[in-house]
Amino acid sequence: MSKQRDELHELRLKLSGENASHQKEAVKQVVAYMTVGKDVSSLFTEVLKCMTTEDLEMKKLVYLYLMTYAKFKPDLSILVVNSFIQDAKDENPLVRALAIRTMGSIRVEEVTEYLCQPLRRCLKDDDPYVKKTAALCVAKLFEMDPELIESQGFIEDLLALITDSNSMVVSNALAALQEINSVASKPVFVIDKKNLSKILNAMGEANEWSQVFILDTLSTYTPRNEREAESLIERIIPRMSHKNAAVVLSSVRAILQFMSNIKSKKVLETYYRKMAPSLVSLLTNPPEVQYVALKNINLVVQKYPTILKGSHKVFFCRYNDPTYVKMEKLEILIMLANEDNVEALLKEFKVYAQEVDVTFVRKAVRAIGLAAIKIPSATQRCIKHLLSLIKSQIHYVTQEVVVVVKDIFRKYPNKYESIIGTLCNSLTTLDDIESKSSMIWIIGQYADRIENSEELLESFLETFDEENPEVQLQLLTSTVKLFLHKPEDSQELLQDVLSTATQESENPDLRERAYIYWRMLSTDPDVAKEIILGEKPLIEGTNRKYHIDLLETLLFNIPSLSSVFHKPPENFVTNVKVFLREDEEIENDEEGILQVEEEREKEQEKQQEETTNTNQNIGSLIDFNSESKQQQNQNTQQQRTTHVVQSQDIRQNNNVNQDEYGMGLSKMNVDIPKKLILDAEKGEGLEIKGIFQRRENSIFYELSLTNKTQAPIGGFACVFNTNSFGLKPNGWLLDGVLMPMQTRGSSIPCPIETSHIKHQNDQISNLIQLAIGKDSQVYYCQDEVPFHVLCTEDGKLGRSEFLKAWKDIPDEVESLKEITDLTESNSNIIKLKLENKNIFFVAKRKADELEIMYFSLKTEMAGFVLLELAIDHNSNSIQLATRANNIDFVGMLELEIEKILKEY
Amino acid sequence: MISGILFINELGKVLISRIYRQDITISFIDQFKIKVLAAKKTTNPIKHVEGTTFCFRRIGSFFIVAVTKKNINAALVFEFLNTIIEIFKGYFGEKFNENTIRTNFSLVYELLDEIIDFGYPQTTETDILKLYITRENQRQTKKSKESVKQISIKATGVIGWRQEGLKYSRNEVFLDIVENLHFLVSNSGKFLKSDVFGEIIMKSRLSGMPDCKLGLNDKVLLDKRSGGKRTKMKNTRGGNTPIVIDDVTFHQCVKLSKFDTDRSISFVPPDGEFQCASYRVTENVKKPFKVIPIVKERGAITVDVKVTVISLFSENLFAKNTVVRIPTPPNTAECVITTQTGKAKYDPQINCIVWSIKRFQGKEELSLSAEVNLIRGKQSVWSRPPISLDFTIPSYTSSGLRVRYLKVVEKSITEVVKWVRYLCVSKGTFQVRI
Repeated sequence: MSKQRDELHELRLKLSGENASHQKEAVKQVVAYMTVGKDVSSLFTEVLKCMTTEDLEMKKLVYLYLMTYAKFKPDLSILVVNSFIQDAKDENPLVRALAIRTMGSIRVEEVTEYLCQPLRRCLKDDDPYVKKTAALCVAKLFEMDPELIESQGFIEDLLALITDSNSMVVSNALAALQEINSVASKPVFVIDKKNLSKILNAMGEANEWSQVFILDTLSTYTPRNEREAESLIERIIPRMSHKNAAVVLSSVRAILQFMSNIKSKKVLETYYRKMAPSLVSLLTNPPEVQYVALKNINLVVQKYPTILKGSHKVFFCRYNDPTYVKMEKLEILIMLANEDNVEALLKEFKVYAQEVDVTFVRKAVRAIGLAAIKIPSATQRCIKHLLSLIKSQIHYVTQEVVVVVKDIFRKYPNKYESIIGTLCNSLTTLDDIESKSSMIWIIGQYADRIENSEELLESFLETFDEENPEVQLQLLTSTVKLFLHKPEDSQELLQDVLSTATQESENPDLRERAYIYWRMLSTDPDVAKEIILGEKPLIEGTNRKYHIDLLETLLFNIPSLSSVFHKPPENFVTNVKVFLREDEEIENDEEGILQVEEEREKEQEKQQEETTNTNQNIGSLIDFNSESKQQQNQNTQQQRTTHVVQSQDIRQNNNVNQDEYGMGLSKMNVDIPKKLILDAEKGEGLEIKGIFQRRENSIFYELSLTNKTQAPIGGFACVFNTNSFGLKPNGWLLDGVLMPMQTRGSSIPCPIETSHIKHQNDQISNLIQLAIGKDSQVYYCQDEVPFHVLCTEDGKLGRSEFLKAWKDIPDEVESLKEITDLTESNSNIIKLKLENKNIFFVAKRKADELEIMYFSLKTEMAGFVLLELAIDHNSNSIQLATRANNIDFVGMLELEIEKILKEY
Repeated sequence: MISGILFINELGKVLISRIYRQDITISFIDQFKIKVLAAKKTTNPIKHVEGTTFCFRRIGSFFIVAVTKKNINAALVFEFLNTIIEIFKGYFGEKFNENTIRTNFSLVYELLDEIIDFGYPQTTETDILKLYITRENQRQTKKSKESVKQISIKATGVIGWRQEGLKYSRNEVFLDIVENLHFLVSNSGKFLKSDVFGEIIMKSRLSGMPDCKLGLNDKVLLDKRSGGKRTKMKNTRGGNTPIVIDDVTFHQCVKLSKFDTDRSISFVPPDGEFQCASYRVTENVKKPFKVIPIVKERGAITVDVKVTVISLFSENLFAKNTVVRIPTPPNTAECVITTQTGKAKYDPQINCIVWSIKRFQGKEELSLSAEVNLIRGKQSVWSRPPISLDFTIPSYTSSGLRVRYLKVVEKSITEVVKWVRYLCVSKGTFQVRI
C-alpha cells in the first residue's frame, strides 16, 4: 500500500515539475496505470495542468486521461473547458478535431454546455478532417442530451453535410443521422430523391468503411419504381468486387432489398448470377469473416435455393478449418444437396464422419440422413454409408446413426426395415437421450418384425425409473405398441409399465399418457390398435428452416449480428427501437413497435395452430412427442446461443410448461437470500455474504463480496477448517481485484473429501469455520451448512427397495421426533417442499386419522436415510420416524426437516 | 457500433482497453474472462453474454476483442479487427506481440483513437496514418502549417492511399502473380476441390500520380474485344490463351465501376507494395503434382506407407522447398523410412513423416516408403488426416493467368521499367486424403 502511495507521490512531483520530458514520462506512466485498472484519479489536478502543452502526443494522453476520469470530478473538469475552447480554434486542424472529439467524449454536463459553440463552428470548418469529426460529435452529444441537439439546430447542420464534397464527411454525417434516427421518437432523416444522388456519388469515392455506412443507409430506402430499383442495383453491383467482405455483404443486403421491387424474372436472374461468385469468394477470407459470410450465405440460400447451384465444392471442409467454420459449411452443403451432386456430397459426409471432433462427426452423420430424406433416389446409398459407419463401433457415431435411421423410417415406412437387424446388434451403449428414444421407437414400431423385441424392450425397461422423461414416454408408447403386436408375450411387461407410470411417476405427462393408453386398451383393444398403430404422416425434408417472415427480417439485417445469430435484433439487443422498414410509413414510433409485436403474436398464433393441428391428428398422437420435441429442441437451440450458461434452467422451464400443476411440482432454483458472514467492520471494508447451495450434483458456496473502502482490494483466498462433512473449497474466492464500491458474486465448488472430515467422536456440527484472506490479511468467521445440500440427486428409492431397507434396520435404531405447530399439513405441499431439497417421496397411505408418507434421501457420508412422516391433520403436527444405518447425522436431519416444513 | 476494443492475453491480463461508448462498463472484461477465456474450448468467434456481444480474433498469445451492445455489422467488425492487425504490422513489423503492445501502449492508444471514433472506423490506411502518428524515435519536429493542412486533406481524401509530389529518378514497377493452391484430392486420386486463390501484388516506385492500366488474359475481356470471334485469337504465345476467372476483388484504388462496364483494371497505385487484386479460378486448373498414397494398417502395430509424388509441370521448371507431410497414427513409436531423394524424418510433435525435397524438377517421379511401428495397447481411433504439401514453383501458374500489358500514364515519367514474376505456392493447402 505504502509503496503505491510513494509512486503516486513521485508522479505528482514530476507532473508539477518544470522538466518537460519528465512531465511527459509521468503522464505516460499515469495512463499506463489507468489501463491496468489502478486508480490514479487523485492526480487529476496535476494532469490537467499538462493540458496546455504544445506536444501533440502528450496532449492526446492527457485527453485520454480526461475521458476516463472527468465524470468522477465534474467540478474540476470545468477548469479544462477554456483550454478546449482554445484548442478548438487552433490553426492546426488536427488539434481542432482532437479537441472536438475529446469534448464529445467527456460526459460532464458542465462541459457539454460549453461544447455547443465550438461544435457549431467546427461543423462549418473548411477542413474536411474537422468536419467529419464534428459530425460524429453531434451523435455523441445526442446520446447525452437529445433535446440540446434539437434546440441548437445541429440536425440541420448534419443534413447540410450530406451534400458535402468529401465522401468521409458525408458518410460520418449519415452514420450520425442513422444513430439519431435509431433513438429519436421520429426519424430526423429519410433518403429522398434529392439527397439520393449525392449519397450515391459519395459511395463511389468513399473509403471502405464509409462505403459500408453508406450502403447500410441505402438499404433502408425503398425505390419508387422498378426502374429506380434497377439503376440502384446497377450502381451497387460493382461494389461486390471490393476486397472488404463488409462492403460485399452490405452490397448484397442492399441489392436483395431492392430486388423485391423488380418483377422481371430475367433481370433477377442476371443479378443472381452476378451475386453468386462474390458470395463464394467470401470464403477466401480469414475464418472469422468466413463464419459471418457462411451464416449469411445460409440465409440467402434459404430464400433463393438455386443461387449457388453447382458451387457445392467450395463448401467442402478442409481438415484444418476451425470447427465453427466446418459446421456452417456442412449446413450449407446439406441445403445444396440435389440429385446431381448427392454422390459427391455423400462421399464427403462419410469422410467427415470419420474425423475426431465429436460435434462435427455427429452433424456429418445427420447430414447423410437429411440427404436420404431430401433425395429419395439417394436413400439406398445413404443407408449403405450409415451401415458402414455402424461397423466403426465408435459409440457416438452409432448413437447418431440410430437417430438418423429412425428419421429415414419415418420418411419411408416399410421400405428399409431389413437393416433393423444390423442396428439391433450394435446397440451396446446408448446413453444419449435422443438416440435411446429413437432406438426404443424403432423397437416399438417394428415389434412384429424384430424377433426378440420383447427382450430388447425389457432390457431398456429395467432402468425405467432412472430414465429421462423423454425416454420414459417413449418406453411407454413402445411397450403399448409391442403389446398390440404380440399381446401374448408382453402382457406382463405392459402391466408393469402402466402401473409404474400411473402410480409412481410424478411426471404428469407420463402419468396421463399411461392412463390414456390404459383406458383405450381396456375399452376397445381393436380401436386402440387402429389408432396407435395407424399410419403416420411422413416427415418432409426441406431447405427452409425459418418462417418466411423471420427469414425476411434476417435478410434485411445482413450482415449484422442478427444475421449471424439467426435471430431478430430485438431478441438480443436491449432497449433498442425495432429496425423499421421505410415502406411501413410509420409516423409514431410506438405504433411501429405495436405493429411488430402484433405480427409476432400472429406468428406465435400460427405456430400454435400448427401444433394443434398435429395434435388433432389422433393417428399421430403417439408420435406427437417426438415432433414437439424437435420443435422444442429448436427453441432451446435458439435460446442456447444467448444463454449458454442457463441452458439447464431452460430445460427446467420447458418441463415447467408441460407441468399441469404449473410451477408447483417442478424443482426450481429459488434465489435464497445470502447470509452475512463477514461484516464490513470486521473485514476492514470487505463485506461477504454467503450461502451453501446444491446444483448439478455438487455443492457450491455462493458468495457475494462488496468492497466498501475507497481502494481496490485483491489477493483473495478462502480456506475451510476440517469439518464434520468433509467440505473443502475447490477454487479461488475471487479472481482479480474488487474495485471500490463494487460487488461481485463468486461461486466456489465444495466437493466432499474424506480427508477433510473432522473425526471427533462426540461432536457433530453443521458449523464450518472458514478463513478468508485478502491482500495478505486473514479473517476468521463461520457459517452453517444446511443439511439438505448434502442430499444427493439420486436419493430416490423404489417402493420395494424402501421396504426392504426399512425392514433391514432394527426398530430400536429408529429415531422419533414430533414436529408441532405446522402452518401447512397438506401432503402435496409437504412433498413438494421436501423434494425441492432432494428428499424424495416414496409412497403414501392412510391410517385412521393419520396420513402417512414415506421419503428417502441419500448423503455421501451416511448413505440412504429413510423417513416416515405421520401427519395428523387435526393437530397440525407430524410424528417423524427416521431410520438410517449411520445415525450420527439423524439429529441434525430432524432439525433440518422441521425447518424445511416450517419455511415459507 | 463498436462500444469498446480490448486487448487481452490468454491468461486474462488486460493489455489495452479503450471504451468508446457509455453503454458498457469496465466489468465487460470480467464477463469476457469468465465466459470466453475460461471456457477454453475453441468456440465460434462471436459470443453473446446477457446483452453484450464479443467479437474476437486471436493473434499469437492474445486476443483482440470488439465489444458491442447493438446489432452491429458483424462483417465490418471482423474486417476492422483484421485491419487493426495490418496497421500494427505496418507500425511494429510482422512479428509484433504482447510485449510490443505493452511497450508502445501510448502509440497504440493514439492509433485506436484515430482509426475509430465513437465506434465507427475512420481512416485506416497505414501510409496516411504514418504521416501524423509516428513511433517515438521517428518523431519529427513541429510541422509547418501547410504540411499539417495536407495531412488532414489526405486523411479524408478521395485518393487516400497515395501522397502527392513523389519523385523517383528511376521509375520501376514489379508485378508478382502469386497463386495459392487449395487442392483437395481423394485417396483414389480424384480432385475433389481445385481452387486457385491468386493475388496480384504490385510494388511500384513511380513519380507523380500515375494512371495505371493492367491487362490480363481474362476470357470475358478477350471475348468482348474479339466480338465473340475466337478464331482470330492467335495462340502462338502462351499468354494469350484466355482463362475463366470466377471472381476477382480489388484494392480500393481500382475503379470498380470501370471494371464493371468494360472489364478494364485501371487505378492510381499507392506508393510501395500493395495487393492490387485477388482472384479465384476453379475451371481448367492445371495440377502441378500427382500424389499416390498407399497406407495400409498391417495388424495392430504396423502401418505400411508408400507415397509417390509425380511432378506434372514442364521439365524446364522446378519446385523449390517441397515438403510432404505424411501423417501417422498418434501412437507411433518409430518410423523406418526409405527414400532415394530428399530428406525424411518422423516428427513426433506433429505426428507426421516430414519429407523435404529442395529441388523438385518437372516431369519427375519420387517416392518414399516407410514402416510405421505403433505402441502396442493404446488402441484409439486414427482419424487419418490428409497428406499435405508445401511447395513454391517459380514461373508457373496453375490457372494459366498471364499479364498481357501494364500501361503507366503520367506526364512526368518518360520510361518505366516493368518486371513480372509468377509464383505458384502451397502452404499445406494441397491436401491428399489417405
